[in-house]
Amino acid sequence: MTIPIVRASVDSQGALEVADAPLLRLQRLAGADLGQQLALPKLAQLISASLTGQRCLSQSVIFGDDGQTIHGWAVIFPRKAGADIAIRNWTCAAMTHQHRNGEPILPPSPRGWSWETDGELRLIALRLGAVAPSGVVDWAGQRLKDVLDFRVGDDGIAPMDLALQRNMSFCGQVASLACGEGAEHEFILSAKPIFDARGGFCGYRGYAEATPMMNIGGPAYPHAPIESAHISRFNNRIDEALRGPINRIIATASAIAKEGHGPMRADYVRYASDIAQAGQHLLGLVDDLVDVQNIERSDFSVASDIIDLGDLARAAVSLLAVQAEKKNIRIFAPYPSESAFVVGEHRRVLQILINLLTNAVRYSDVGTDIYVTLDVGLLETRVSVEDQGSGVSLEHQELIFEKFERLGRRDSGGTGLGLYIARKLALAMQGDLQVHSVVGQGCRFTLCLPTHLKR
Amino acid sequence: MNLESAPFLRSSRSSPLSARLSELTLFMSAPLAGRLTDEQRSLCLAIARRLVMSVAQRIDRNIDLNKLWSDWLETGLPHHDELILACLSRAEEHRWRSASEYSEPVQNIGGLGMPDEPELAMPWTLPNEKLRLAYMDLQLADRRRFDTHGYPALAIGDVSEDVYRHLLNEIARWRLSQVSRDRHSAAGLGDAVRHAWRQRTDDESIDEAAAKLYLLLRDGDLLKNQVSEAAFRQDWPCFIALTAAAQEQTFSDMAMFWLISSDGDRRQCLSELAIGVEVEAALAASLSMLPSRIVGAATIL
Repeated sequence: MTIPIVRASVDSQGALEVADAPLLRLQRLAGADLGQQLALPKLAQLISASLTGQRCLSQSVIFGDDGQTIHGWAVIFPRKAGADIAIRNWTCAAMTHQHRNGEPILPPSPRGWSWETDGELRLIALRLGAVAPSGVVDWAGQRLKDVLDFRVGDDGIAPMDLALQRNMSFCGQVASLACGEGAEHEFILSAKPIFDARGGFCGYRGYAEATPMMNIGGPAYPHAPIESAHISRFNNRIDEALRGPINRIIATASAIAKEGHGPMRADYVRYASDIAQAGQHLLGLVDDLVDVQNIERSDFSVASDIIDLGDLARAAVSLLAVQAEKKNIRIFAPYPSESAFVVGEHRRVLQILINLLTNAVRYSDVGTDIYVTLDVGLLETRVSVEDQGSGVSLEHQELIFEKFERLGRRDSGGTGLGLYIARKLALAMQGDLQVHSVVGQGCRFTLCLPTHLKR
Repeated sequence: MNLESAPFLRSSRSSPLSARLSELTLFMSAPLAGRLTDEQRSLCLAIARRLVMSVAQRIDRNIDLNKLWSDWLETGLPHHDELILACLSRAEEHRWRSASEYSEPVQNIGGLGMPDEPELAMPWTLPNEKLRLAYMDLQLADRRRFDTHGYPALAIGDVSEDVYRHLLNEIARWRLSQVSRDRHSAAGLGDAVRHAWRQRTDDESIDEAAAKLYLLLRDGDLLKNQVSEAAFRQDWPCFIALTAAAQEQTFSDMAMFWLISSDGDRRQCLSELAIGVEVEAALAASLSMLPSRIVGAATIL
């Protein structure tokens, strides 16, 4: 819930004179009332600073209210005998702590170390786990890359370098530590960037784990091929395994799209841009794959935003345009003038639409058409994706939303999770996902979502 | 009736009931006084534990740390006022830093020297190599105050000689009771303690690192700017270190001062350092986000 503006005023002593209901409610929850000192510390401090300096101050403020956090942008206008307060975009949200530096990553096992660098990647901390192989003797103040030998990926770029370009987290960075006489220890590094309160990059904080095949109790092993050593870890941590390559795809495609390496043909630039965009979307999907378990939980929930289904449908169509073009498929999106406001979560609805369109493009014949249409109802709004493919038989229509169900297909196009996730998401948004099809005459998937009722 | 003469307490002076009654007695004597929260107690105890573990390993790497700690949990930790203060100061400092990390990035405070656009923020840099190295030494000293998992700890180099000696003696006393039947081990214990005392630490303490950085900044006429910058960036270790050096205080004492300070205390201290109201506002805003903060009676000794 967002209230555009909440107003109040205090006297010269900081006592609350008048206040709009939401602020007064918080004041009362904090055990105070009108005529008493403002009991919301952050706001009170800001007012105090404003009154002291007799200057207009503004700052983002957050208040806690048991089950939810309330945040907004407070502006304090000092006057002769007090100050006026305006808090813009007073927004209530379920209580979640948002760590400035991201959620902490898992601590290392006793075989690993934790480490931290400054902004120039010089080591400022390195702590060994209880049974971690030692070997790093003189690390303090050394550059991470002078202490460890970083392995590059297939594209010749180390995951950490890619992450560093965008101040992102990374994982799966293989690095080795020379132990003398041609032997070395191998580690897999993961880390999150650290930012100061001004948003400046301060370095990385992360962990190093010995590679799965490394015998911690024994001596360091000589140089050996490393690929096989990581397969089990990648299998165990599929999210981590996917994130690295996708990040590399995005970074490389973005670099090409920006013509950082010199001028390119216009269509290649567009392709690179599309790749980067699709990569970004894939990153989101990785989250969803990892979250399949969450979707199945009874307490899974989605946001109830007011979204324009027309806009989302057009965005989804543009994302799939290149893919469709390759098969000479035309996708007819809703006209720009068509709007349909529904209640749902923006990212989830886009995910469903992209899934439907991807399937439609994938299973349509060359040179056919796909239609995306809107149907606004009083209580329910529908968006349909209709193709001219081979269609789905009635018996298969019952199976199509099952997990890992691919109706006997063995191509590498999908995982059999897309429609399962899509329907679960639709249901979570108080909507539904339906299929209508006649074999040989194409298929129509319809996403139904609650219409936003204007007051 | 005297509590201690109650029939159900006679059998065991250290029973859980007795401990709670003692606690209740203290509570009743000042019901309105603030108390430590469970989080604060846990943090303090954990910090003490990590220090005890690292000191014990200086005496004997094979010492049974779990047995030592469980025995001390039963009988009580050897009392030392300075140790208790150090643990509380470190625990509160850690809570402050954690709370800052969970807070929103600092936004513009009405043109008081804060960046207008957060996205324009650049990594912080120091103007010369000497300062950069001094700042790195401070960071290294600070990061020694964490364990492998990033939990707060006290570095041996940061505790006073008194506290270190006290812990060495107490751990040796406990160890002696464990090995008293083994004459050889008992004899070696004294040597181990003396060796541990001599080898206290080669690492630079955070106070030494702070003094070095402070002097360089002061001589370069950069102190005021860098203290302000540290506050705006919520680099509290740097802020505490520089103000501690300026006030000729230890890092631990200065951290405690800022943590328990009232508006007036802060204003006075900062004005002595010729630091403006905007820093006070940033500091106050950050401290106000810290739940269960112990406020009041902050003085610089």
